[in-house]
Amino acid sequence: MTETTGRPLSDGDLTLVTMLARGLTTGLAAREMHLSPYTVGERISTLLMRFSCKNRAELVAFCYVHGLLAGQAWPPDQATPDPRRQPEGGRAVMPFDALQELREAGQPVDLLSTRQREILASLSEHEVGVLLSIQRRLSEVEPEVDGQELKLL
Amino acid sequence: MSSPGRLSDPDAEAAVVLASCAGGDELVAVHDALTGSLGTPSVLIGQADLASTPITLDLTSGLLDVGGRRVRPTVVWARHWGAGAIAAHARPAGPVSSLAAATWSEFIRQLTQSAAVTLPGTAPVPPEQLADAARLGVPTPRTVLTTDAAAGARQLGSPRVVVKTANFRLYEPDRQAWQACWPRITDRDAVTAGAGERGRPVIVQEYVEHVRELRVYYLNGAICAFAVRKAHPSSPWTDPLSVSVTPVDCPPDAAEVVQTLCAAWQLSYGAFDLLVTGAGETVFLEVNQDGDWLWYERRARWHGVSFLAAAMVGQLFAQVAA
Repeated sequence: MTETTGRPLSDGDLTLVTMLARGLTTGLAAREMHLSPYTVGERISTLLMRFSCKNRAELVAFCYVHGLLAGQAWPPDQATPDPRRQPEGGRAVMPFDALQELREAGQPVDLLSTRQREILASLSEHEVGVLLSIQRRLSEVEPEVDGQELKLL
Repeated sequence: MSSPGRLSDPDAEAAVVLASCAGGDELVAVHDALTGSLGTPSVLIGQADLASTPITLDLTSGLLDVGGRRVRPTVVWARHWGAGAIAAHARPAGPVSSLAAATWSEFIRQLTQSAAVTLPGTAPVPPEQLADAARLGVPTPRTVLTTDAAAGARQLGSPRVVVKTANFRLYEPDRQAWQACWPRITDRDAVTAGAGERGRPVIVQEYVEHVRELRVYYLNGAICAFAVRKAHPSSPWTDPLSVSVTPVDCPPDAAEVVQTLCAAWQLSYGAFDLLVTGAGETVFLEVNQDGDWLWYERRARWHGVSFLAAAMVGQLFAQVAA
């Protein structure tokens, strides 16, 4: 059942939806909230179900429209640091960190063995980009379509 | 695991060989990640290749030729390569003779023998898994195999039971016929033989009251879990969009069950179905060493299993190559 009134968002959920409104990934939001990506993903799923929203964009829009998210939540306050933005010239002074890039994209890097992490740590920015593009491609297949395909589970 | 020790063609490139004889595109995703990002040579043999691509395995040298590309299989991951699955799910769709299915199955078995590392390993078949797991101290539901579901239910004594057919998707190509095989929960006294169950054994299992259902993936040490919420056991086929799949931290007790069973069965990969009771106990239902993951990932909109699978294969290849 869709909930449109009644309980306001908890402080934690409000923080999370504000981060989603600012475009943060699950991984980045998890890092900011000092939670695991799974926990954050679970919270997002719970909110999606609570408000019968199909995706994060609809969730953010829903929260704005129903006054659950304050108008000043976006655009972000310039004084509030955005974890995605490096200092000027950040890429030049910060070496590329493949594991961090993958982690921020929501990949379960911390479940890998030490040897697996070593291999992935050696990937170039381009190679990480290719890996993440494969992940994105998988995401682009809608479950509705996949549901029509053979699945042996 | 076996060592080929045969290098008659030093020019043949060592490579990962991924053979997917039925099911989804799980190994396509792994292949793309290996070749596109990790720099690992990889050969993909898909369902359609079985019918259309010239493939030769040299039993003396252990070398594999796929469409003119000659490689030395180093890591082989073969999925759904039993004769029944090959016959039921041929691509392009069409009748495959029992002989053709059996010879392809034997071919893939030989292919796995030619590699230094083979995935995923071999678990017992589902009903046998339960007895084996119970012997290892893992909680399992009481289960009978029977041609008389009502008698089986009475024998269990549980007020509610689950009636199901193991792996029906693998052997039954006609999706219309799946309906007769869908698992169903029913009161013990209401159990009757389903239309499709007469004349063949079914699994009748004690229904375990639970607070959480988990699909847990084991990938050579890495464990990741999804919480699954569905109205009925058949919902993934009858109403897939109603099934909620959420990535979660694997509870320690569930992780221990998975590790125990994978160690006992020497599995490098497995898709586990587990229940967590109100008392926090993890109950083992089944592991599928060929278990799909893309459907769960897409429902969860998180592709961590594909990522872990590619990392696992890439690391195994690097380990052998070193």
